[in-house]
Amino acid sequence: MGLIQRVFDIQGLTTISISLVRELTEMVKPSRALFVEHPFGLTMGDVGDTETHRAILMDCLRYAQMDLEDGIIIDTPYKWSKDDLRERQLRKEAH
Amino acid sequence: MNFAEIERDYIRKNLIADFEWTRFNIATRHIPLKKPLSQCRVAIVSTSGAYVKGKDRPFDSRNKYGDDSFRIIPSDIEVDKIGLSHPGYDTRRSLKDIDTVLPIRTLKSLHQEGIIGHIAPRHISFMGYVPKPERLIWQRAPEAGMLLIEDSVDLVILVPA
Repeated sequence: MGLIQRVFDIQGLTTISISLVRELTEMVKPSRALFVEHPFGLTMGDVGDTETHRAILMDCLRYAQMDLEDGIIIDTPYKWSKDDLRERQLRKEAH
Repeated sequence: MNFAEIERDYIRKNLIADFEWTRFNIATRHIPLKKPLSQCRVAIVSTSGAYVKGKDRPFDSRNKYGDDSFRIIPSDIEVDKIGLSHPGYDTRRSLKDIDTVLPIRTLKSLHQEGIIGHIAPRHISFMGYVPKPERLIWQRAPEAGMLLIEDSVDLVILVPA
């Protein structure tokens, strides 16, 4: 995701991304990312959780407008607490 | 070990012996928005592996070198026409609510409320797993970016899966 974002940045597009894995985004250094601690496949939140989907998208819009340093990874309050799916995915023990 | 190290070792052991993550030392520059959000045209670029059922070829999720192609998702598509092909997550779960990885209905509601000015006519979908990214960086992603520029997109929101 960060590699694609870097290309768009260089092409002159305004971009903001969501990062699910901070260390991968730190390696690639796209212009701006929001760090969301959700499982793979549930980036915006759980199935049917329209409130969280909206909140994350609104944060993307909000931070896209700000004057911030290039390469910043913004911490957010979005942390998966329903179960241990994200932890298991990060250990490659779940899909 | 963190996820990047676990995933790197998995790919080296099972798929590509000399795999290494692509790294950069310098961040790319953020281009400031040129107009208020209420006038901006917004596109979503997803790495969910989304494609249009019955029209697009699904992504090749079994190729050990990944699939660096992309698909165009028309913004007026009916969500039940979207398919997902990706080796890295449970696509059946995400298909129950496509906004989990491709928030096109959420974006539409923000447009209806006047928070953003316009929705781009085309969103773009890649498949996230591309361990050999040279062609992605030098051909595919620039091609996708040109489509967004053709559509006069003001802001691109990139959503991984």
